[in-house]
Amino acid sequence: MSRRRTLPGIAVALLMLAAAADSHAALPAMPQDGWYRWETMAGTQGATACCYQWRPGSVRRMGCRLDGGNGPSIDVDCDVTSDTLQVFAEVRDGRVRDIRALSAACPVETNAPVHDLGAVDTASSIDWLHGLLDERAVREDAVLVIAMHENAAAMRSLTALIENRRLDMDLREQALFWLVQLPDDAVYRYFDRLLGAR
Amino acid sequence: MKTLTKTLLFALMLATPVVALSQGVDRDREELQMAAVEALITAPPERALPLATKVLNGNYSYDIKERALFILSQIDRPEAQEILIETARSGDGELRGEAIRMIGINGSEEALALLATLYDPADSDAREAVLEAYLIAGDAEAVYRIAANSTNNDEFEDAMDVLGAMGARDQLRRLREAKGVSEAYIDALIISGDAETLLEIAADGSDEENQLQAIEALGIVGGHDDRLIQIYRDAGSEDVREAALDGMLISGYDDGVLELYRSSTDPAEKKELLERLVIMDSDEVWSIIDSALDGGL
Repeated sequence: MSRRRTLPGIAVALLMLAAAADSHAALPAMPQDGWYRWETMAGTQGATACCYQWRPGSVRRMGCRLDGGNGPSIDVDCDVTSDTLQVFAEVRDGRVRDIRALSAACPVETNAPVHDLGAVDTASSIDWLHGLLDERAVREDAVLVIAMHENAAAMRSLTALIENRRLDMDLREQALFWLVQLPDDAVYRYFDRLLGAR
Repeated sequence: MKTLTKTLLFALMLATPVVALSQGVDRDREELQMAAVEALITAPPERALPLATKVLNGNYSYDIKERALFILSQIDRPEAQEILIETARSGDGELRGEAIRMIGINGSEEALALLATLYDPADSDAREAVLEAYLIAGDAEAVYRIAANSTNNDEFEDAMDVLGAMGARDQLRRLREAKGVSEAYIDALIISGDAETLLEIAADGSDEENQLQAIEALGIVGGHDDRLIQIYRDAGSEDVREAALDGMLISGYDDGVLELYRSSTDPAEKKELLERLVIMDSDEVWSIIDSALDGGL
């Protein structure tokens, strides 16, 4: 009797676990105009992303202005680093007009308050960015932002882009460009395979 | 028989899209591999080196191998330079030429020193590749040595073109003593913009052909219009006068031709100068014609 009661319980628990592993909460809608921000896990390329000011002999941390400000730089040897990536998306008239990602340690200013969406899991964040790949104005930035996510997830996503023959070669080349900069042995095994398939 | 034909046609129809699809996949793979090799430029050298080497030694198209060679040329490691040198020594035709040029772009001192041994006067591809490598590396002395030791016109002219493009005036002046003046030499002076040497040749009547070419060349180089007027006035022959006029025509110095026209008292000369002014589309032509019609020629 107790055995009969336990089995459905286990089945439900397994289903819940599978659902949790298989799906992830999609990013909430962004109905209003303005900048939206969420946090997710940073990869090597996202950990130090910030805007810097170069002076002779030194690099000074500067922080970024999102509205018409300077662009981000990565791989700079300075003290801005974080395991968390902050992703920004600007929405106007219901469309995403701009997309940026910066280290969570990088100070960011905007003209208007940002809509904060809180923490988002890596897969949801990357899924949402994949949805921008048909948007000509932001798709290249979307590829860069994908590359700034946690390394393994970024690699999976970038290789999927590279293998997707439906996408423009330009965009796939962008993905290759960012992929090769991930400091991961798996990246070079992938390149080896790609170059060896003749 | 009819059934067999239909069957064959059907099989052919089935096979055609498969062939097209396969060609599309191959093309896609080729483009992707090309982009992958290009992307290696941002990879750490220890990562890029084995992959670029693998491509260079593998069964890939020339375009992909050329890109791999470029990646190797940008890697500042002895192993990469050795592969570049080896390809420059014994690679296949076009790839060998590319390797030689790339030594000029980013070759080590050892690799640059090797260029002299790769120069072969009898092999026009290798000859041009080595000269281009010197041009890229900015080694005018090496090109001077080739020109000074050249044994045929083609070899000398190729070296002259490069010295001119390099603006190597010092080497060109030394070559005047070593090899004399020639059409290729004057062309190199024009490209290098060496008006000073051209003026010397223009004043030297020992070889009229060279002298006439140098006078015209002054018009191409520009900046010496007054000297062209002087050469015209001092000319001892009709050919020299003609060359000075050609120089003024080339440089667009219609003020000078107008000055000559106004100071001339020889109707035949005035007629020729007026013809030049018409060719030069001078603004003054119409007032001269008006004046001529009024009897003021």
